[in-house]
Amino acid sequence: MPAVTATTSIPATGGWSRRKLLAATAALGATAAAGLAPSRAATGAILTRAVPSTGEMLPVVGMGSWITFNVGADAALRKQRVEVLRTFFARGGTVVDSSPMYGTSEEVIGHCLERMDEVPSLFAASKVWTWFTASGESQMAESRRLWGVARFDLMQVHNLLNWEGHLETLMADKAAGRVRHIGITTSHGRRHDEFEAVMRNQPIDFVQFTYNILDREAESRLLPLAAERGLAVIVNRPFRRKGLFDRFARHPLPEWAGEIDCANWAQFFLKFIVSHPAVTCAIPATTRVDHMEENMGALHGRLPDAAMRARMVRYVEGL
Amino acid sequence: MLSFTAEVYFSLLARYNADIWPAQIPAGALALAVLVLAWRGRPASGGIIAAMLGAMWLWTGVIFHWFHFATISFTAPAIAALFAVQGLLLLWRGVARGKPAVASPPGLAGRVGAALATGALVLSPVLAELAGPGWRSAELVGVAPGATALLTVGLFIACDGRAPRYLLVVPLIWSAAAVAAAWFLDSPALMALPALTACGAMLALASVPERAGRTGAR
Repeated sequence: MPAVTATTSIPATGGWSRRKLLAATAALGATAAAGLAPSRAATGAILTRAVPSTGEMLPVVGMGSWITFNVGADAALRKQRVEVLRTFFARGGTVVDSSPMYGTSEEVIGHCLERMDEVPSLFAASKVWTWFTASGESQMAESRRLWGVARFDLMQVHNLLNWEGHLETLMADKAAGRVRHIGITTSHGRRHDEFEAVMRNQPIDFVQFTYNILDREAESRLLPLAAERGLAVIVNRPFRRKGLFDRFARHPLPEWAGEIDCANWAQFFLKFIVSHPAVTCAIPATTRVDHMEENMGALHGRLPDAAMRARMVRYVEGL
Repeated sequence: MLSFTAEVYFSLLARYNADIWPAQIPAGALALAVLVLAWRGRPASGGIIAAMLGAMWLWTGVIFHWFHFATISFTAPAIAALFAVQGLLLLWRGVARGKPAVASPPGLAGRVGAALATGALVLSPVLAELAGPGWRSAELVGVAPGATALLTVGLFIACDGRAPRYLLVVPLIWSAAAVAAAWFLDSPALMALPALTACGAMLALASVPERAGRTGAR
């Protein structure tokens, strides 16, 4: 399995103001327009972005596991998922995200990890999801057992469920070295006011929420706030599950998609997301190796600048 | 919001059917006995039928939803609780009260109810074979939700107003949720039984009992 060696870093946005963020978007575009971002063919480098609180570099495309890795005890489906995860790592992925809410997903991820010849670099992210503070520790211990990891790189409070109680536990765990980063999640645009309040007032490293080319509510408040507060951003539902493909895949990619090195719709949607300067990574989920290949292609080549991003939005909204 | 695909659900059903084998045989025999008792229409049978149905709902709630379905769905514990409540209500109604009885001789409602109840025994394996992944993944009566709910609602209709309407609450809630789930999963094979259950439950709620001339006890 090829090791991840070359990376192209995109500046982290920790502590930046909204104005700086906008400037960064323009600068990023200028870099892309100037052809300074390496193409996949030219260098094989992958696009990474720093976690603001620690400086750790993460590939801008990770992997989610909602639905896709919840395959129960089915041996054939588990075998397929092993290949999906193998492809993910082989193409330079590191961030894998799951939750105890996702049925057997954590167990299946552990099953797949056991079968990897080598895992170049896993950034293991899961969640705590229980009403009760007291049962949070045992749930996280069970998650570690299922994944087969000694500690998680990131533990998030799922959908803000009992976030007051769990964040207290997570802060103690982080201080004791039992987890490296902590965060909160939401999805489908839910509870953004409360989410924003936690972002403003709690010492977290990561936030995770929904953002895609059609669901852009996060652009107005959450993304600028994440940049201002120095929080890493994981984006879920980058394809609206598969809704974006259902709606747009029958249409041709615009010819100018080649200007940002997009060969398919998956890369078009993902590059829109990860080109936002406040985004650390997007976590598409898939059951198929060919789709994983497409997704991971977004780790390479040029990214859209602000003008191109606006053009991308206009194009899909006009279809 | 479902956390699994139809493919995974069918796989779970196949494994469940293998795990509980041969429990499907006594469950099917129990369902057949329920149909025979219902068709005979003796007043004393009402309690026995309700108790038998109660046992099926309890099994499905505890064994299927709690121990099997819960491995892939975070909603399963709540559904398990609903099924347990329905099972206990039926047991209470059947054992403690000895009621209700089915209508005898059967009127139109009785025939519709009998057709639905009979369908509960045979539709699932047929649908699984023709429109689904094969008979091994069938939701069989007495041990899986779809067929058990349809059998119950069919018999409720056959009671022609003699059964208390609160016994329809759980089947109605479950069938509405199951229809939505089948729609989300894009699976006609999973849609049929809950859709029939929902239609039957609404028909039962909307219908006026035909009590005149009936010999069944109330």
